[in-house]
Amino acid sequence: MAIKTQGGVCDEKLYNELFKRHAKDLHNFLHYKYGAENNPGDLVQEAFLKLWDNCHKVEEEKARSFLFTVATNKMLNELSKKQTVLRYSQEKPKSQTSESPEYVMEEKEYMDKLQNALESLTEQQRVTFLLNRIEGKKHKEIAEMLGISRKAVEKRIYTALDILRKKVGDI
Amino acid sequence: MKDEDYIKKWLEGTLTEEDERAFKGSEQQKSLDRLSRALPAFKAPEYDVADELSRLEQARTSKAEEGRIVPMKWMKPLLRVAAVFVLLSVVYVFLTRDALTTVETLVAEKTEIVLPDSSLVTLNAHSRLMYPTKKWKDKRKVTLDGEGFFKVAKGSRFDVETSSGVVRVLGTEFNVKNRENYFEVICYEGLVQVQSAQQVVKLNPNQMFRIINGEVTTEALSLQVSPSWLAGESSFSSVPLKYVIQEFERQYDVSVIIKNVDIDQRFTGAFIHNDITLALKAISLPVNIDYQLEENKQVILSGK
Repeated sequence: MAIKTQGGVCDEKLYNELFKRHAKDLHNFLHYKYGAENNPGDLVQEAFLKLWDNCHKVEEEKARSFLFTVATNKMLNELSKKQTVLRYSQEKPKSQTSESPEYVMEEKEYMDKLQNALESLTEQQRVTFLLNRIEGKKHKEIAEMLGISRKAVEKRIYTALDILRKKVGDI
Repeated sequence: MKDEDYIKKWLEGTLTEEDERAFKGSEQQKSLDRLSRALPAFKAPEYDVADELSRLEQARTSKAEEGRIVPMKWMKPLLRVAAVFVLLSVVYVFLTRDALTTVETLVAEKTEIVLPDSSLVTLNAHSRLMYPTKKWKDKRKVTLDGEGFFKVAKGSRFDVETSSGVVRVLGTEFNVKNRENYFEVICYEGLVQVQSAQQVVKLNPNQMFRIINGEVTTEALSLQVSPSWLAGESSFSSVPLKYVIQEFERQYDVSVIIKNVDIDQRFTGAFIHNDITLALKAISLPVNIDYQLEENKQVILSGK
């Protein structure tokens, strides 16, 4: 008797395919939203395990939003949720540099300020802004991830930028 | 074009060459430029899809074997169990152990306490009374440190525990004074049983039982309805002077310095609680000593 796979994602191949399709996006989304301290990698794993547990009930097309919702809810209920920390990668100092110490210092100051400013944004503002500016995600795509309208995404990006510029100051 | 529009267009990436030229070198353009140069440094770390997928497969197999979820989370259920234990033990302690009610008086202070069975206790200065509220129905028992006058409501046994002995009654009026090396019980009504380390004594109204420094006296007193201290006067019959002075210190919150006075001589008399000069006269005249009232709450008693 053939097992009905229709109406679910219990097929291993399909399941793994879904992982390849969505895991990275989900990871980056969680990273920008909650920061590295909250282990976005583990959250992705947990979300996919949950998807496997519920594979009969979740349709292929709904899998993506299921994953995003599960991971977000998990963080909502997380008592040990840590404060969002976003680290920037520092460029390795060149052995010979033409940059003056003042420039290096100023640069570091700017990055620290920007880091604080980013961390001070709301989760929603930050994830929207960074997905757009760093990952180059389109408004429509972000709107689908967050389950909000494109207009709202646009507004959030603008507000986030406004806050950042106020906090970092115009240089 | 306004700044706002410029920023919107910059965000959308729809700036025309003309726009760019117009804003070239402006503050807006510089800050946005700087921001877009800085942001890539915040890019999320590289996500290794293949690695993570094999990790997921492992987790799924081990889960299928165990039939339950994620190894790392074992703390959580454990904490839940621990929390239930803590809660249960708190409830247990709360239900079984009875909290004691404690009433204390300071020096130069008196207070009245109505016990759960409406028995009445008047506490003299610098005394403490403790009693269980909840278990009161089963056992009427109070612990006294200091001096108190009891008007016990009729009922079952009523015990007053002191460091020097237990006073047991059925329903009556009596005074218990338990100070350092000094234990005195006077019965005013009914029948009181005093159980000290040395003996068991039954007291009828207006009988007194006293132990001073291990020396036991039983004495019949002249008729009184209640101890005189309730009326603002401490009275003594044949009590060593030092206990009189100690009571005086408690009633007036002063410290007494003694010079060349025999404090073991017996004193019979009384002093009132609301006039220190009069009280000092009452104490010093019968034993023929001088008193001096100093500042800073000091009194000097000196022999002549």
